Amino acid sequence: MAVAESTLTEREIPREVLPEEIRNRFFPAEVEDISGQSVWACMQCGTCSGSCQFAQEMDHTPRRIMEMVRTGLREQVLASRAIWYCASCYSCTVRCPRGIQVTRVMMALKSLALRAGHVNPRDDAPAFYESFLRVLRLFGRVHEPTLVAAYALRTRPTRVLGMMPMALGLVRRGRMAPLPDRAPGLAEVRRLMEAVEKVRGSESAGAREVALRSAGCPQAVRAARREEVALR
Amino acid sequence: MARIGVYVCHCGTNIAATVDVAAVRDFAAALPGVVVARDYQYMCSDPGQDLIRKDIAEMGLDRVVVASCSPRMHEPTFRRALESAGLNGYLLEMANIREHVSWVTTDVPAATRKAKALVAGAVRRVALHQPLEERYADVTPQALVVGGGIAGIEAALKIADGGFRVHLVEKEPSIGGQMAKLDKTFPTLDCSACILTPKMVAVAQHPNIVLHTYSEVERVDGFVGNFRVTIRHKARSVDMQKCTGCGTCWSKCPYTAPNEFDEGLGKRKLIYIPFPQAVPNKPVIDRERCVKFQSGKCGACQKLCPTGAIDFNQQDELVEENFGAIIVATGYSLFDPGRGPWGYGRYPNVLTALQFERMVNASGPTGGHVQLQDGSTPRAVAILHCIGSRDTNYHEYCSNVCCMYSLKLAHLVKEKTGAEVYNFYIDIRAFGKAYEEFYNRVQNEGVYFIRGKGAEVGSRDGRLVVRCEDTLLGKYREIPVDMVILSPAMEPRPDAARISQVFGIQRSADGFFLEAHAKLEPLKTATDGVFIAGACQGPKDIPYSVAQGAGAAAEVLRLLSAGRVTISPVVAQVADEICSGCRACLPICPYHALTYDEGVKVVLVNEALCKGCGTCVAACPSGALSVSHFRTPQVLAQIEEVLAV
Amino acid sequence: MSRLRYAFYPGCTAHASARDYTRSTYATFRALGIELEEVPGWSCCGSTAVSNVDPLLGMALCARNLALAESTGLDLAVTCNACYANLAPTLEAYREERRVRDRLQRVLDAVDRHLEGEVEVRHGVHILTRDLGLDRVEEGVRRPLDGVKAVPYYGCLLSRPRNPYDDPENPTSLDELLATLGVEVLPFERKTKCCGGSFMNTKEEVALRLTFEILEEARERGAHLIVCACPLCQLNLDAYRAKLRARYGTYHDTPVLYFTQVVGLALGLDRRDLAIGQSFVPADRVLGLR
Repeated sequence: MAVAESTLTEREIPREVLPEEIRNRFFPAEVEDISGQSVWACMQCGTCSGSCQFAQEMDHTPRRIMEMVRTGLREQVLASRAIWYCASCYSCTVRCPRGIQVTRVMMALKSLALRAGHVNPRDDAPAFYESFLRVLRLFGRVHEPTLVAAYALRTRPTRVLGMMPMALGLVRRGRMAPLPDRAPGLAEVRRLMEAVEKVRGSESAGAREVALRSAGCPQAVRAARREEVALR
Repeated sequence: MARIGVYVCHCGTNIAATVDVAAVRDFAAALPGVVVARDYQYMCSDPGQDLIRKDIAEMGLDRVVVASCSPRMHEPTFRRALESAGLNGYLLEMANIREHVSWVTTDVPAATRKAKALVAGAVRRVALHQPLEERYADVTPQALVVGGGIAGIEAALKIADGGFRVHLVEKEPSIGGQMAKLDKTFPTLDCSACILTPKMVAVAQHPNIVLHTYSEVERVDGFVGNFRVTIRHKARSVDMQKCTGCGTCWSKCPYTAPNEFDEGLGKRKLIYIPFPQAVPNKPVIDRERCVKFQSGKCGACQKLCPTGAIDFNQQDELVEENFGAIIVATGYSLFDPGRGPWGYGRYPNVLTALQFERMVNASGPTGGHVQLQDGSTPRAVAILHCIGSRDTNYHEYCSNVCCMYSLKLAHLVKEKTGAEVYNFYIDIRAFGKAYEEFYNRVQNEGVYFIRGKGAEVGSRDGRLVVRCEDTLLGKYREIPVDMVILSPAMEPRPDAARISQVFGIQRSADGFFLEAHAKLEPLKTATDGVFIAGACQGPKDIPYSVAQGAGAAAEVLRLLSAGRVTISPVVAQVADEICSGCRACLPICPYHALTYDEGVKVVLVNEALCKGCGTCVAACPSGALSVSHFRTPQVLAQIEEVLAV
Repeated sequence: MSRLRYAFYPGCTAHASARDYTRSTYATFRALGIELEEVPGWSCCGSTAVSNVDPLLGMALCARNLALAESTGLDLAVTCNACYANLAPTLEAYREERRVRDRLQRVLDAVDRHLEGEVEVRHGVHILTRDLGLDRVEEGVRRPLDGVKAVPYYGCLLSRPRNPYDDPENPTSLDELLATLGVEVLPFERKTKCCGGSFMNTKEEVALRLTFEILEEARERGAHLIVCACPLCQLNLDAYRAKLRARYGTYHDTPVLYFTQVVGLALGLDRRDLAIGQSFVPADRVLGLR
């Protein structure tokens, strides 16, 4: 999960006739495997976007993201700003007329973007989430000051200055824990994290299998294999 | 030894693509008793049937097995083919190798194996068949129509015009149904009342129609041709004979309640007729609210009635009638959008489409003025399609009519107010005659069509705001409007479950009444002689409901004109010498076809009522009951053979 | 009368920025006869952050905490909306989605934990309104909060994605609870809107916009008080008033309290036990405590 190594910026959908060869037919099954949601059920009604308090900030609306996933525009989706503007408020999920848990689709896309290194460097959210995970690995619970410090160091260390008044306010009101609260089962939590990595290894193999079977035509299978090699 | 012919159908590629029909044919030819086995493209075609007739004549067949589709499709066809060749129709057995085999697998060897097993079972069984004779029962020459909306009205008029007596039962105080509430109808913009009320009056005046308003069917006994029906006349508190409909009572009643006919927008009195053109034009007292009934005071209507028609002591009345056939046309309800995020019930200027129909109607609560709660005229109006339909959170199905009535409402808003109109849609489904042209017209009137479902309705700066994605622009929008009209789904009536039980009608997964066959028997139900018409079967527009009403009338006229119905010989039989008279079978017969004869102390079967379902056979502890054509040796032989292959 | 007992999942903020919430939860629940026993060995549930990096890990962390709770034999009480909306949907997916269950079982096996899926997860609001019942709350009210006008702020994750106790579009449990205390509950259009709290560190301008809209509506409706049920919402609505004034030119002085504090006050508990003074915007004045 290498945000720092990322060199990708937003990818436009090509202006001319959509080059069919840029489509990744593996992508919908990949998203389906991680999210547990079928993107094929979407009827493009836009209820998700209309229910989204962040749609106005997005480069592609959630509905459009769904269609891009289906089309197989993997790079364009993973490099989009839109996915990082999902706050997981579940408004779309509650209302989707086809019962798609759009929030889980968005989570899957964010995790794929991080794994593929396709992260928009102008967005701080990935760094925050990864800092969160790092603190979690450290203590098994989240310690707010450590999280904020880790995040600031990864993005803009000067950020800390802007946070001081808030921090002081919390200290003054007795709402700041100076020392981290270590989870009693920390070793177990770390083992759990390792187990997840192992299970995921077989998980992506499963997704590959689904995709290869569902793609049907030999070109698609070859394209998927190419993609798989590129992924490694 | 029986002489059996086996005929294996290809059904084009329906069967032949999955089942090796030649192998099945050869397999059948070798079975004991089989004299001839053939395969053919379409056994149900005339040449196919001729094959059977010819073999019966030339080879002296006395039993026939057809391996093809479900007996529900072509058993009557092949029975007739046998009969025309001089063989009893019940000496036929069908092996269903389409629905039960070729349509449920793509595995050719497995399908072929199963087809062989089913054919072997059928051959073994048919050898044990006995000839059976059909019998007939007379038909009561009178029909019942339940539901006085446009479908029921149409059905009743057609039957009555055909020369038979019809009873029309309506739950509300007046016939007219939902159509009576509409202002205009799409796509012609005919005034709804103008085209409906002549039919309502025709019902009232028709010598062949007996009208039961404010009434409900309580119980149905009997069977096709001879139904016995109990109808409850709810107490109107008004003597229908004495009342002249002069209107004194309802003009003098000092109290009001929300008007159901105006969808709660306006008020009505506590003694009232639902709307000015009501048929019958006689009032009813709202006993739930009437002060006289609640506290014993008032009684103004009684004091002022010039004919003494007000009767506070009137009781519900039960009436029994016999009918040859029944049409159920109980219509639909509107989905309650208060459950969703569209502001209904929260903001007064969010209306349902039916509320707006009342508002825009000249006889409605605002005299036809399109106005906001404060009396002003809206400058912008949003119409939200697909509210509660095409939505797995509510109803998965498309409600068929909302696109078109939403277009009509857009037109009416434009015409009456000149306001900006926004229609929020997912797809426009304008499939009927002149529907697309109407869509075109409304577009040219300058209505904004936003392709995106209205996701939620909120408020801002004292106005309403519709949040959506304009999917064609790919843009999130918040569109300020003054009024929102919701186009809610049509859904089954809340009492659909009770109605379905009373009449023996099945319901589909969406809760609407289920037709006998989706394509070919849209008006029949699982119960012979009970038909359905209109929106009780699924969302429908007016022309479709009218067509179904007329179609159901044709079904009824067919039965009544024939004057008699065929009774299947597949019925339960009691072996008197075995029956111990324990009566275990009596309560479980779903058709009330069994009685106990005190004299000879055995159970008797009313063959006219019996459907041959076999429930009693399973319950009989002494094995005295059996069903002809499904006798234990026949069924066991078939099972044994199927399992042996 | 039988006492209600729950395994309690405090969440990571419990001993830090939401100390006031934790303290008032224990005090109020005890006063109502509800026992809470902290789940031994609980870890962070992953919040939404972990699910964004790794959905499977997010669910796995929840599954482990659920397994710990299940082994106590008690149902699980949660007071943080974010934890609730993480734990409950994971449990639902574990019960209903075969693929999820298979994967999580393999992960749990690796740490010798077992989740049957029989534990129930309840938010504190639903414990008071549905399990205990409003009648019992009403019986305990000693100092009715007559004259206090409040808006209930559910936030995004108390009623969503879904739970059997309330309507996701128009929840009423918090409304009912406050009304029971004598509070005049005002209609609140944004009661289930997201406050943007999770973006305060990464997309401040967006978070401030949403926070402002909520505070502004509360002010326009004449609310004395905003009542919430989530540490993230509370902090977000409470702690950024100066920034909001700098940005939008309006200062909002409407205090934001936890439902546990408000219920506790009505029960007549001591304000120190309820940690009333620990919010940024003081609530004393509107509650007449000074």
